[in-house]
Amino acid sequence: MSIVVYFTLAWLLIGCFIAMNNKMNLMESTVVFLVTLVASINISWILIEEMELIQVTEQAEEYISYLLNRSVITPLIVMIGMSLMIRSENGVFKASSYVGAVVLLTVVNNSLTYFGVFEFVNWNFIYDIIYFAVLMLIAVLTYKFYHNLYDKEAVKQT
Amino acid sequence: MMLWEEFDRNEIFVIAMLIIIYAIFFWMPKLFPRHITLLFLLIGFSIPILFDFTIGGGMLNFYQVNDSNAYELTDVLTYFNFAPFAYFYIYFYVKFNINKVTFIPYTFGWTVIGMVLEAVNKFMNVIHYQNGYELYYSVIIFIVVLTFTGLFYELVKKKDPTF
Repeated sequence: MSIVVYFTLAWLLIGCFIAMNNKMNLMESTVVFLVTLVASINISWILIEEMELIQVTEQAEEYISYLLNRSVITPLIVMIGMSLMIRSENGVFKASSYVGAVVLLTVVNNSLTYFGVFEFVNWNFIYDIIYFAVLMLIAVLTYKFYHNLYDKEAVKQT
Repeated sequence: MMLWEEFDRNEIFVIAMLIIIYAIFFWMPKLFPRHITLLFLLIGFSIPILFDFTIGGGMLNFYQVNDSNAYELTDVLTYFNFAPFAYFYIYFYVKFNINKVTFIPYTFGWTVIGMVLEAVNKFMNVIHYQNGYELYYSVIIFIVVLTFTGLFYELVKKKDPTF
């Protein structure tokens, strides 16, 4: 069951991201996606395998759901949140997009416990909120850095 | 997370490779704008991480990088070693004017280079196969990743007005 839910969610998020009026160009989107992916993979590995704060299932189907969440769903929610932030001129809407993405990431991550993918040992949703707020911050800083670099190179070429 | 389990030949090899690869990277004449260089370095860094933490760890656990399944500093250095390879692939792709006809032999050539480097890594104890994984399975990974990288470069070339 869980694989259907998370696969459909991943598909929906990909569809939403493509359909959005995205202000990030291909290179910026790729860089933000890859940095978020690397951060998500490394942090989840440290939390699960090294610190054993979260226990992950050994059932194949549920394990694939975990991989989908870690490597597709999480970076995509971050990307959609980022895209909404960039699109908006209004500070309140920017902040709402940031908070909305963090809340959605937390809800999806916590839903893994419902499907028996995760068991929180020494972990709870407050830590999730902090983790995802930091992940969003990493994405914002990456975008700002790469966007400035891109602009500088574009100026050089003209 | 630890620095390493035992400082022996795999650590020496990883550090030596790091110095050689980045010396070559900085020595080569620059061909791309900085944002493109950074993009392909990031692709070279993140794709091995995606594979290592998906099929090389967790449930499948087909291979172990360096001395143990635990996360070591040497593992991070190993991923930094991979980063310039996507850049080199694109660099010579442009230098040799690779087109639709030469794309297949070029990508096969890089697959052979990748296999040789992986065999050397295996010999130097950087990578240890387990749970039935064999060196030749990596051919699939190399072909997929290199093809994706080449096609992605073509897409970037079309979309980026700074080219």
